[in-house]
Amino acid sequence: MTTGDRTVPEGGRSASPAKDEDNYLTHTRGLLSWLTTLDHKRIGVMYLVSILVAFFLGGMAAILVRTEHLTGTPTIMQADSYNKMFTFHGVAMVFLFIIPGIPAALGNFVLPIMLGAKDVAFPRLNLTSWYLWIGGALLAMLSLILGGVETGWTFYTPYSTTTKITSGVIPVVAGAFVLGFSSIFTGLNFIVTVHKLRPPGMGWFRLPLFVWGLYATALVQILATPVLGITLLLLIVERAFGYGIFDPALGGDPILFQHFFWFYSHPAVYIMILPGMGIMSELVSVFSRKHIFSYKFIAYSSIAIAVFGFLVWGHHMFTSGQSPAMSMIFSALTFSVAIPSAIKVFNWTATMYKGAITLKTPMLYALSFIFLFGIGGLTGLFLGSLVTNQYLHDSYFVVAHFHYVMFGGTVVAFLGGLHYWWPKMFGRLYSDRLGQLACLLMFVGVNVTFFSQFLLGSHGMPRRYFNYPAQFTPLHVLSTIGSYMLVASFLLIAYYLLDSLVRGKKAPDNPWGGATLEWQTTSPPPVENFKKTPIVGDPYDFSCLRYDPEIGGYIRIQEGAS
Amino acid sequence: MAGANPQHEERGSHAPHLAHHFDSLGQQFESGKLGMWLFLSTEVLLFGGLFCAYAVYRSNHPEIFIYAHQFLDKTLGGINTVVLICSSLSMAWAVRAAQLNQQRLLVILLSLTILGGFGFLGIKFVEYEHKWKHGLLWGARYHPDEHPHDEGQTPEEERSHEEAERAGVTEAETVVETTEAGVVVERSKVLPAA
Repeated sequence: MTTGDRTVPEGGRSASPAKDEDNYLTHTRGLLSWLTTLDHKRIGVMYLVSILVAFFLGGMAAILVRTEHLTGTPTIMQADSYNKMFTFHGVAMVFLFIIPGIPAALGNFVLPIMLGAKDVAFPRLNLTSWYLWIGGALLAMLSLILGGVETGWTFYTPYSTTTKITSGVIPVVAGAFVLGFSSIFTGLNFIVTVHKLRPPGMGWFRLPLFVWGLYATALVQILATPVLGITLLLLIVERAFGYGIFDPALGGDPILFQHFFWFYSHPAVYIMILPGMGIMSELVSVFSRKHIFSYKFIAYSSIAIAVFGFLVWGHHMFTSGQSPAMSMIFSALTFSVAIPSAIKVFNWTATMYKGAITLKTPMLYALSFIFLFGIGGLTGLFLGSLVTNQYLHDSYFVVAHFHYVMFGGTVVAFLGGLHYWWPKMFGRLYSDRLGQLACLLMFVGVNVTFFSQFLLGSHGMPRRYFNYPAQFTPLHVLSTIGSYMLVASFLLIAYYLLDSLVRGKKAPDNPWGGATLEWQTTSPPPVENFKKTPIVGDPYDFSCLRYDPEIGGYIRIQEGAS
Repeated sequence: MAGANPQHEERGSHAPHLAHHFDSLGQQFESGKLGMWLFLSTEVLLFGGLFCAYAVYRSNHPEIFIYAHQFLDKTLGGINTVVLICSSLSMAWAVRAAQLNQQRLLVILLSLTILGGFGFLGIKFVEYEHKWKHGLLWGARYHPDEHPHDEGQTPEEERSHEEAERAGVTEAETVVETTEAGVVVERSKVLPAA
């Protein structure tokens, strides 16, 4: 971009070869230049690759678990391997994929650019947290070599401190501890970045809503994760040295572990979903060509969800023997979380009302999110009310509920964000037609896989059981077929995204017409993010953008010119 | 539309300690400070969990804590606390000295901090070595001597031992009560009989 005029771009600049010569991908070369980079964009890409590997491994475990359930008797594995398989699926997906997923991969890449900054506040800490992720992942893999873990991803005591079948508990718990610090450092970095690196003219209410989502997430990350850290440390100490903190045989209190664990792990649910909601706000507004409806309510509701999220952990323990008074309070507080979540959903719907909606791939994911998250959220109310919880507790209904939220919510939002920022990250366009097809296949797959599990749960199928009576066979087979559809959709996505890197058309600077700052720089961005100072304005004001068919993207029109 | 951002120009790049992504030394300093406070808040929560576990365990089994306190050395523990607080002070003061370019003071304060660190380790060595020798170890490895204070006592230790013996009557009773829960059966036998 050599033009000195900041608002009128040269025609066809996206194809100009001079731009491609120096961007963050090509600035330096070689593996070492990546492993020692302090560039938030490269760290974001390294996170992206790492979490997708974890997602692949966790997904393989899930497919094996589903395949095992094709029959009510042993199908492809024994009970012991089955326990290890669902534990690995849970650990890999929760700790290695969903928690770091959106903030550390997409957030790392986009957040500083959205703020017009050159990097996050602490680039070295950023790289450190990626290495901590790698360390934690290796520890988790080590536990597999040592014989696997069959405690479930929740590591409930006293089973996890006394089980002798496996010796992998300590490494996997140590891995989760290390991953916790990776997550804390990312959160810390983002909070300082949002506070201190905003450009002049970008007040708190001119931040893109994705940044609000990441900010709320970061608050939860730094306030909840340390408690998980100390809990896991106590668990390790208990298992290794025979302290009696959680083991009732030694005078410990196993319920204390559950309180500690869920004090982190319930807020962690919001670590998983809040950034996804942030992506949603971007997608819905951009692809409806309409200003986001009620910006402040969406921004505040992110903070409200983060705060309420700390007060509801007891709803995981309604059947643990905690006092009825406590259960009632936790149940009431749980219902209150529905309010800020519903505010968001209503505002997204209102944003689309009378908008000029284009059904590009990212928007299809956004629409899927509203539908799937709606089901996931509303079924949470069944589980949050005390009477129905007694019946549904630890059944497939719970499994279906959190998969609708985690898969239908977070993973779908992650894919929406990935498709949205892919052209910015790698400077290539993928096939929109294949993208739409894959999204459709996934939408059907999620519902086939997990809706059948709602039915299984309400008919009495308990979670984590190896075998089941014949009456459950049809629904289990249906759920497994759905999971194969999900595999097919992921293979398709992997195919066309990788293909776009090789054969994809060069992406224009602003293919979707987004008004946030990352669309004002080149695709892919240069090392210092902006060649010229971006113009800070309302992040959802699309009136100054015009589609230019010549370059296949949007350009900024001069103020007052039209 | 707000105007362009003048701070994003390359101004201030002449300051040698200024990282490339900050606009000014003030912004860099403020960011570091906020980051450190946030990190400290995570530490509060980390130890908050630990204290919470301690509180729960203590309220569930007060007799264990009453019994175990007689093995603690108040003097060494007290000195240790003072050493810790003083070396924290000297370290924080050293940071300030570094910022104000007071090199001599900085060297003195850092030396004091290092001294405090070794002092802490020395005191801990004496305390832990004592516990180790008498089998006062964790959980499964807890095998105390029959007479934990036979050798090498300082007058201080002797005094605290006597205090414990004076209090022994009531403690012994507490322990006998809780043995029904099967918790501290073997521990009752090392209690000094009144």
